[in-house]
Amino acid sequence: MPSDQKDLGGVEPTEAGGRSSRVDDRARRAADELHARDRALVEQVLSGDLDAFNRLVELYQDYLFALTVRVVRDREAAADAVQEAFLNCYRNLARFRGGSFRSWLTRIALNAATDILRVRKRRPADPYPEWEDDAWQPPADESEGPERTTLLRSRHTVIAAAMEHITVDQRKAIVLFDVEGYDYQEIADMTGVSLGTVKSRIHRGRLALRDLLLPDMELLRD
Amino acid sequence: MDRHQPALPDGTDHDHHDRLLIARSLDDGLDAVEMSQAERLIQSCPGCASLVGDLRSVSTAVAHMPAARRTRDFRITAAQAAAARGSALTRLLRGARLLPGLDPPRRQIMQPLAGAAIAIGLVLVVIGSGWPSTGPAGPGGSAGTAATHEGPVTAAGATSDTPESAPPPRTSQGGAVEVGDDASPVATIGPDVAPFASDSQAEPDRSAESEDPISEGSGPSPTPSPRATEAVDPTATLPPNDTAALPSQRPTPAPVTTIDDASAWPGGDTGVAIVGLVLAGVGVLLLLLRPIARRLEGR
Repeated sequence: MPSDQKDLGGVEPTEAGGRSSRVDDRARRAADELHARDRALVEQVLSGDLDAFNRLVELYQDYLFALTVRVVRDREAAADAVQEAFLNCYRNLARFRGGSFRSWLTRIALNAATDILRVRKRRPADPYPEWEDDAWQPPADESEGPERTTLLRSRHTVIAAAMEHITVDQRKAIVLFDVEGYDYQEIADMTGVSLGTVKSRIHRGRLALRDLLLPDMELLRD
Repeated sequence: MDRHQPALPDGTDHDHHDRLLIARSLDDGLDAVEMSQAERLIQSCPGCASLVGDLRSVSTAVAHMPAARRTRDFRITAAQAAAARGSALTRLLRGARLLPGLDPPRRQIMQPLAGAAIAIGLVLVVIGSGWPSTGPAGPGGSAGTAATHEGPVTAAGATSDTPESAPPPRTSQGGAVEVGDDASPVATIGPDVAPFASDSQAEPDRSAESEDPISEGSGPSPTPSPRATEAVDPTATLPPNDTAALPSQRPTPAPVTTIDDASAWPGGDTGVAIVGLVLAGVGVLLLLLRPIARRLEGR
């Protein structure tokens, strides 16, 4: 669960893994407060306050980087995409028409990630990310024993490797749905495709992941 | 996949079961009929039941993937902000949506638009130059020129693209241009064509041009074509003192343009070519807009 999911207004994940399809009034009010906060910051930025923009960056950079890394599968490329996304955001902030700033920013970041992937496809440099790098590992949880930690590491490694082999569109849809908790319609709006296409990408992507992970399925079962 | 195929109790036909239906059953995206089919498959087929379990495990595991740690601080500096804002020109272009904005590349139409403008512009230039309908051009003739004769067929002179060398000719009642008293260069022009119409403004008589050996521009010919003599009768238009100088006897043949097609489009093909050039130029500009904008924005 990404830490920023709290920013969505305390939306509790469902059993299926972080889906925020049902929000109670309290959560809705909290989300409205966040939207109001973001809108206020945007207005300050539009009046020339750069610090206000950097406050928005501080609020969303962790979320945006984690999301982009999952899509691009390369930290440096993801960092470039996020930097580009924030600059694009600053450049086009006047076009923000309210609503969820987080969703708007996500859409910009996904576009930047798509650009990066297109460039990489033309000029493949390092197709294999450093899966064993510590930066990819979950924070150490002292309550977990060493066996559990090893299991989690292995699980994340095989999932990350499998994610590499599904299509970018499927990966984006699965990350947005399963990890970030957006619903179908939000994903359709962000990616510019129909609702049916979003569902198809998610379900076919999961089937592809399952086939890829079949030899290691024991690692995924708790 | 046969969605309606009943599941066998022993699950032996699992390979033929609708895997996508099973996957869709994990989320609430199925109607009642589909859901009952999926549930029946899951209850009766071990393979389908296993698939559901695996998909749940995959979904949960993906959801709990750790987030990568950020490698840098993405706050922007004042210099970056100034560069991002861009110059007044880039802000203007951005406001007019002429610069790449937030839309994904697939939605950007600038490059296809530029390509189309260039292609159409070039086609117009080619059409405007008269290339498609022009026969074999003479050594001195370019595509789209009127029938240009070097030689003695008519009273000689310069081509019509040098109007300053030829005073505006007087037109006789029959429509043929009279030759000046000084036997200056003269073009024979149809009744409705401006006297200093450019080459491309006048549509030449192609058949006459191609059949007329004179139009080959190979020099003097003793036998002018009937068409040429129709256009200009030297004996009728030349002053008496020049009638003695028959075409074949003139020492220095000079080109004469016969523009006898009065149906030439006013404004001519030159207009089409200019429009084409402008369009192609706009296309090139559109094509260069993105790199120019990026340079302006200091990226």
